[in-house]
Amino acid sequence: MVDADGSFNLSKTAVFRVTDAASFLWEHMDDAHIIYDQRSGHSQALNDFAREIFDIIEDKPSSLQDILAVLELILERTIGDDLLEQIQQTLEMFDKMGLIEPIAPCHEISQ
Amino acid sequence: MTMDIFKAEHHLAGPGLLMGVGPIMTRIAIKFPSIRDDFLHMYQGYPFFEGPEITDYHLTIFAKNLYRRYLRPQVAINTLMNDDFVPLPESMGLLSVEMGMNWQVAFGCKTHILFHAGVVEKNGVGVIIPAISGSGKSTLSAGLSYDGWRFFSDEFGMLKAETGELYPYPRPVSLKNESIPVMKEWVGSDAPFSREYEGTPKGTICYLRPPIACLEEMHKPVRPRAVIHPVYNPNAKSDIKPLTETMAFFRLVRSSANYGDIGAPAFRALAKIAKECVSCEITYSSLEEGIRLVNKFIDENVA
Repeated sequence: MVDADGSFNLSKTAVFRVTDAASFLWEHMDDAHIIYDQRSGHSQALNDFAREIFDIIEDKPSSLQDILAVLELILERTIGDDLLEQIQQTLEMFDKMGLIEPIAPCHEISQ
Repeated sequence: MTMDIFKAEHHLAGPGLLMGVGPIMTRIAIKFPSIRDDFLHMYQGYPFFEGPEITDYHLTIFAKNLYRRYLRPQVAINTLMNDDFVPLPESMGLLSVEMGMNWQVAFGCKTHILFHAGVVEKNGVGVIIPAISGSGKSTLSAGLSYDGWRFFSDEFGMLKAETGELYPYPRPVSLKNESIPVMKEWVGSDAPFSREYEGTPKGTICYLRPPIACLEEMHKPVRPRAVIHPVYNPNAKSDIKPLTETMAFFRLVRSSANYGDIGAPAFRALAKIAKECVSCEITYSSLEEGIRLVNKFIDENVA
């Protein structure tokens, strides 16, 4: 999907999967979930919302639309633009951290 | 274990003296008589061994050639590791010994999770005091050790990942600049201090030997119960700020020298500390106030 400014936005178009769940270790703290990536040795903190998104992708490879659909079911309401933007940013952060990877554009999967 | 000073001097001058500090055994050879004198003064009461012992590190303090031994003598260090130290004048020789040992532990130790931290213990309560240089952790750790606490280290917190216990590594405390007169007044005797080394890259440095009782118990570990991050500010109002578990975890990661090398066991061990220990940041304006805040925080938060 190409944005208004002409740039290509991966988080809107791709289906993502968790890169290698076996290499992640989790610890639940009082106010965050800490994930440790054994491949890189890096630790990251995720809030409950980010953890939920991660879990959705871990259950099965998902696009932004798939995640929206699951979250709308959980929250029992339509997701507005603010939350949509947060989900997109979270996907971009996950991708940057190496926690998820794109496997195909949405339309290729649906065909 | 105890060795007379002449024999120790003989080993230092020759093949090397085996010294065990906590879990670390180092063979040290020093080719300069004046530095051997300084070393033996500072390490009075430490256990020296005849061998054979399993040796972790070999450290040699030497002159690179005859000119640097007798004309403008300069001290070089060989740690048998990938080091590249700038030689120091002979008058600062003890700094070379301390630098070499610090380097070996900081980059060589993979048996323990290392924190850049002071560690003390009282009544079975282990306290980790992590901090960056200049925040007063050495002075605070040393001050506590001369106020009823058992001294583990002012520089390296050593945690065994398998047991979750802290191990003492009670080397002499490195005091810098304004903290030297403060600690001399606090200790009330010149005996455990080295001479003062002026004009070093960090200003004036003076070493302080920990109390003898701490050396006698250097193989007795303790479980950590609190993590206190000190911030020294002579103009600040005293303050104790509790930290969340997540903040405590990431601050521990930041202060660990080998978290990435040890990997998953270090992650589990640090998470356990973050969850099970009470953690805070204290801001203090004097040594006396720092010690008061540590005692207050422990009394009020650790059962």
